Amino acid sequence: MSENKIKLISVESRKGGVGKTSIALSLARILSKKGKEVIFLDFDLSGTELSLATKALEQRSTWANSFNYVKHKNKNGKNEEINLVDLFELYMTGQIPLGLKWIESNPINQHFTLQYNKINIFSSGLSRSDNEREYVSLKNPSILYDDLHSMWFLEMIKTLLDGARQNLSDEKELVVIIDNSPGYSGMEPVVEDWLTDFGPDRAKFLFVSSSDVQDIIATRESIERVHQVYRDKWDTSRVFSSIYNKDVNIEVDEYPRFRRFFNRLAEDNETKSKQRSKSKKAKIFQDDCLSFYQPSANLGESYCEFPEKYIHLIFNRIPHFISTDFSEYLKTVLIFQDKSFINIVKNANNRKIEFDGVVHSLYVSSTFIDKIKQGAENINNEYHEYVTSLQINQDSFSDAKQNEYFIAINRILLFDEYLYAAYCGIEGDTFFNFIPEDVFLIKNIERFSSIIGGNALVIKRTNIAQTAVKEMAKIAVEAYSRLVSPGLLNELMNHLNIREKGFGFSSENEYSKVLNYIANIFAIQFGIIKLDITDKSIMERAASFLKLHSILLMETIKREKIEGHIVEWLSNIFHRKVDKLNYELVEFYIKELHIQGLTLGSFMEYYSVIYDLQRRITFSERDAEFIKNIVIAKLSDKLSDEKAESYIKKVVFHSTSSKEIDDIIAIVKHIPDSFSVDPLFIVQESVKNIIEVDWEIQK
Amino acid sequence: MTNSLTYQNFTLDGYYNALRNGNLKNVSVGLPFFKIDKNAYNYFLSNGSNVNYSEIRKRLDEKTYCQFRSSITFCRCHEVYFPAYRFLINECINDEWLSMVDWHKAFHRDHLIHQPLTAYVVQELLTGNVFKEILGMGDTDETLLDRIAKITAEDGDTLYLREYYQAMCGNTDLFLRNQCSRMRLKWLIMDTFLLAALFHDLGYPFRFLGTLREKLDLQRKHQNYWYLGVNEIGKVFNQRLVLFPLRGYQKPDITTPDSWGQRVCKLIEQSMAKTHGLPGALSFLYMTDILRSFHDLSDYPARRFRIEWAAMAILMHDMAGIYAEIDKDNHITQKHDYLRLSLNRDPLSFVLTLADLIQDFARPSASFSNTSKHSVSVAFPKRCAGVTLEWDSGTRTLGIYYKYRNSSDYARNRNEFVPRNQILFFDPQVGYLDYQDASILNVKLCSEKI
Repeated sequence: MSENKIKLISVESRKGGVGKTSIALSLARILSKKGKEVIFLDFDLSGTELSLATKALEQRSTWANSFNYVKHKNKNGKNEEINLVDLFELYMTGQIPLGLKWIESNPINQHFTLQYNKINIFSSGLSRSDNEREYVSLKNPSILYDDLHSMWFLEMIKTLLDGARQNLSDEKELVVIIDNSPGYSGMEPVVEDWLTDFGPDRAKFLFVSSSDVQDIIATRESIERVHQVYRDKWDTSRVFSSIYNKDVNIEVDEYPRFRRFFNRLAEDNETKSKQRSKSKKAKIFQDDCLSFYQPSANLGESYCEFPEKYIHLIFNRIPHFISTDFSEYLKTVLIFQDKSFINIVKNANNRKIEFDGVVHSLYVSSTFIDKIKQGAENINNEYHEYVTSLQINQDSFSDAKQNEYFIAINRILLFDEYLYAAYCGIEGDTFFNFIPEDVFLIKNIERFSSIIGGNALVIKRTNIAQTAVKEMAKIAVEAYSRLVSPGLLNELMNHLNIREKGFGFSSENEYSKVLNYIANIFAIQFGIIKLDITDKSIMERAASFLKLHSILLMETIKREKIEGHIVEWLSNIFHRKVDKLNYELVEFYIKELHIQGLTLGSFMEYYSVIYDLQRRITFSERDAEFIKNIVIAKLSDKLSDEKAESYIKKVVFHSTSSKEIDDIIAIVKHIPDSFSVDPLFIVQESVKNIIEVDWEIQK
Repeated sequence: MTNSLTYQNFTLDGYYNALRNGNLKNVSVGLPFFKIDKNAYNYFLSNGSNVNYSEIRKRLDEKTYCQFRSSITFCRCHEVYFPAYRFLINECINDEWLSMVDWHKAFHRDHLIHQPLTAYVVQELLTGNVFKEILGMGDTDETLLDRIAKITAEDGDTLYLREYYQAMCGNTDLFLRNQCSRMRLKWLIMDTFLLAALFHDLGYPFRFLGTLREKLDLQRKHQNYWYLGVNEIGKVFNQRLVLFPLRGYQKPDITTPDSWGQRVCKLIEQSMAKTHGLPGALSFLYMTDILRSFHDLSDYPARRFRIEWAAMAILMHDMAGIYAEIDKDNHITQKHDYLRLSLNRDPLSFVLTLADLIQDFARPSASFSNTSKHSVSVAFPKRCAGVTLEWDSGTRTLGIYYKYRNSSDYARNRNEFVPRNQILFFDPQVGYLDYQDASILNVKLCSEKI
C-alpha cells in the first residue's frame, strides 16, 4: 500500500482550555465526512477522558453515530472501551493482541475492531478501582515523566497503527489525529520527534492558541521548535547522503540532534540492507518511517522551506472585552475576503444581536440549503424549516424577527462543527491547503462557544512561523485602513507620528514602525500588563489606544447615520477627547472612577460601557455628567441596582422609547460592583451571561 | 622547542556549567542500548525500595542537599542507558545516605555525587586543551577523543575490540576510515565513556545488591552470578569482553593451556575480594542481563557494544591493587604486568582511571562533632576545592594539582594520598598507567594550599 495514504496530525496547544480537543474532533469529523478513515488518539493521558466528551456530543443529532469506541476484553473477559492507559498496562505485560480489524457494521460485541466512516476513538484517562470511588494510579505518572515508558507507549501505538494500516484496503486513506495534552510535557516531545520522522508531507501539526499574549508567544516558540526539528533533520539527511559510505570529508556542525538523527539514518540504512537480504516486509510505523529523508526523496526542499505547508495555527477564544472593535474589524476583513462569511456581532452591553442580513443569508444558502438539497442526514427537521424560511425572507429582516434570530443563531452554533466542515469544503489530500494566503475564516461567536461546548474558530492564518504578534498587528493595520476613511487614516498616522503618503507607506521602515506600534498596543490590550499610573510609557501606550478607539467609534457613528445634531455633538466630544487624549486623561479616568489594578483590556470594556451610555442617552453635557455620577456611585457601593433603575426611569425622560430605557438599566446593571479583581470580573461576567443566555434558550 | 605551559581546571562550577549547557546529557546518539524485557522492568518497578528524601534532607546542609539532588536527577536522566539503575539507585541512596551516615562511621560514601563529576572530568579530558597540546604537539587540533577513535579503529593493540564487535554483528563497518564511520565511532566512544564514568563505582554497594537480589530473585528465580563461585564466573563471562583484560586482552584459542584458565580464576578471586572494579562490572552486566528482552537480537549491535565495553572499563579502573602491591614505604612490586593500562591498548580504562584520580574535588565528606552529651552534629565539608592540570611541553610533564583550603586536609593529601598514588599509578616504569603512548614523559601529583 502506498505510504502517502496515511497522514498523521498532531493537535497541540501551550495552554489548556483553548479548544484543542474540540478542534481536533471537528477536524476528525471533516475528514471522516470526506471519506477518510479516521483514528483519534487521546494523548492527554492525565486529562479529561475523551469518551466522556464525545458521548455528550453524541446526544446531539449532528454528532449521533459519529464515533466508534474501540473495545477490548478486560480482565474479567468482558468487552470494554479501550483506555490507552489501561491498554498500555496490558501491553507491558504482553497480554493483548494488537491486530486491529476494519469492519462495516456496528461492532457492539467485537473487540479490537475499527469501523469504516466513523471516528475511531482511543480514549485515555486514569483508571478507577472496582468500586469507582478511587482513581488507581497505574502507569500514569511513569508514562508522563519517564523516557522509557514514553518510548514503550509510542511503541505500542506504532504497533496498533501498523495493524490498522495493514488491514485496511488499498483504496482507503487513513488519518490519525493525535490530541495532545497542553504544554510541552507528557508525550508531546516524543510525538513531535516521531511525527517529524515522517516528513511534512505525511505528518502535520495544528496549534491552537488563544489571543493571550503569553499564549501567542509560547505558541510561536512551539511552532518554531517544530519547524526547527524538521529543518535540522532535513539538513542532517543531506549531510548524511553526502558522506555515507563515501571517502569524502566535509565540514560538519555536530549538534546533539544532528548526532542522534545521523546515527538513526545510518542504522536505518543498515536495517534496510538486512531486510532486503531477508526479504522481510517493512512495518511503516515501526521501522520504515524515514523514507522522506532518504537520498532518493526529492520532496524535502519544497516542504522545509515553507512551514505553512505542515504547521497551522488557529487563534481561538478571542476574549469578550475586545469584541466591539474586533468584530468591526473582523467584519470588514471578512466581507472583503469572503462574501459567504457569517458574522455574528453581539453587542457587549445589552446582549442584542446584530448581524448583516445579506451576509447571513448568503451563508445559510451556501451551507445548509446546499445540504438540504443534497438530502444530508442528521439535520433536524425543525432547523430545515427555519433555514428555508430564512432563505425566503432573506431581504426582510424585521425587528420582530430579531428575537427569533437570536434563538436560531444559538441553534446554528449548536451545529458549529458541522457548519465548519461544510464551510471548509475540504478536498482530498489538500485538507490543510484550504487556507488561503491571509485570514480565511473568522467566526466570532464569543461567549456562545461556551454554551455549545464547542469553540469558535476565530482566525486561521498561514505564515505564522515568524512572529505571531507582528502578524496580528499587520492584520490590524490592514483592518483599520479598510475600516476608516482615507482622511481618517491620515489622521491616525499623524497621531502615531508617522508621515503618510497616500494610502501606502513611504518606506518599509515606516510600515514596520506602524506594525510595531500597533503590535505594542495589541500586546497591552490582549495581555496582562497592568495599567500603572506611575509608569509613563504604559500610560502613553494606553492613551494611544484610546485615540484609536475614539477614532474608530467616530467612524462607526458616522456610518450608522445617526441624526445630524447627535453626530455633531459626539464629534465635538470625540474631537476634544482625541485632541486631549494623553496619559493624563487615562490617569484621570482611573482616578475618577476608582478603578485601580485593571488591565487595559478591561479598562476599555469599562470605558465602552460609559461611552455606550453617553451615546444612547446623552444629548447634553449635563446628561453625561449624570451618567458619570451613576457609574461612580455604583462603583463606590452607594447605589444599588434597584435604586439606579428608579433613578434612570425618573431622570432619563427624554429617551425615545421605553426599550431604550430598559437598555440603559441593563447597562448600568452590567457595571460590576467592584473592579478590584480584574480576571475574576471577566470570568464572573462571562459566566453570568452564559447562564442568562442558557436560560433564554430553555425558555 | 620552547617551554610552554597549558592549564585545565576542574571545579564544581565547571561541572554545573556543563550540566546547565546540556553538554553532559546530550551526548547519546543511540538509545536505548538494548531491548528491555518490559515485564521484568515493571516487576522491579513495583517491588523496589523507595527513598525518603525528607530523612536525607535532615542529615544534610542546604548546599550538600542541592548537590545531592542534582546528582540524583542527572543519574535518573541516564536510566535509559542502564535501566537497572532505576531500582539500584534507591538501594544505593538508602545505603549511602541513610544507613551509614551516623557516628559509627565517619567515612562517608558519596559515589552518587562522585560519579557524575567523573563523567564531567572525562568529557573535559576528551575535548580539552591539555590533551590537544599533548597529542598534537601544539601543531594539530587533535583531541583525545580523536586519538582514541583512531586507536580503536586502526591500532594493532585494539584488534581484540574490533574482533569482538565483528563477532557481535558480522561486520566492522564502524571502524572504517571514512568520515561517516569515524563520526559514529566517536559518538559511540563518548557514550561509552559517559556510561562507564556514571556507573564505575557500582561495585561499592555490591553487597546491597544482595538485598535487592533477595527481594527480587526469590520469586523470579533469576540466575544470580553472585554466588556461583569464581569458576562459574569465569565460565559464565568467558565470552564477554569484561574478562579480556584478565587474559592479557586476548581471546583463548585452541593452544591456550588449561593452567591459564586457573590463573584467570585466581585473579577473579582476588579481584572479588579486594576491589570494587570486578563486582561493579559484573553487577553492571548482571543487572543489564536480567532486564534484556529474551532472545531478541533485533536491536543494534553497536548499541550493545557500549555495555560490554563500559563493563570492561568499570573493571579495570580499580585493578591497580591487583596489578601491583605497594608497601608501607611506598615500594611498588609488580604482580601482573599484563594488567597495566596503556592508552593504545585500553583507552577507555586508561582515561577513566585518570579521571577517577583527578576527580577528588567537591566531594562532601561527613564530619561529626559532639554538640552536647547526648547529641552529635554532622557537617559535610568539601575538602578539595579544585584540581588543575598543568602541561609543560618542554619537559613533557603533566602536573595534577589538588587544591585545598584547609591545612589539615592539605597535609593529609600531601602526606598520604599523593606519595602513594604517585608510585602506584604514575611511576614511569611500573605505574599502573602506562602513559608513554600518550607521549608523556612524566606525571607529577601535587598538593597545593590555596
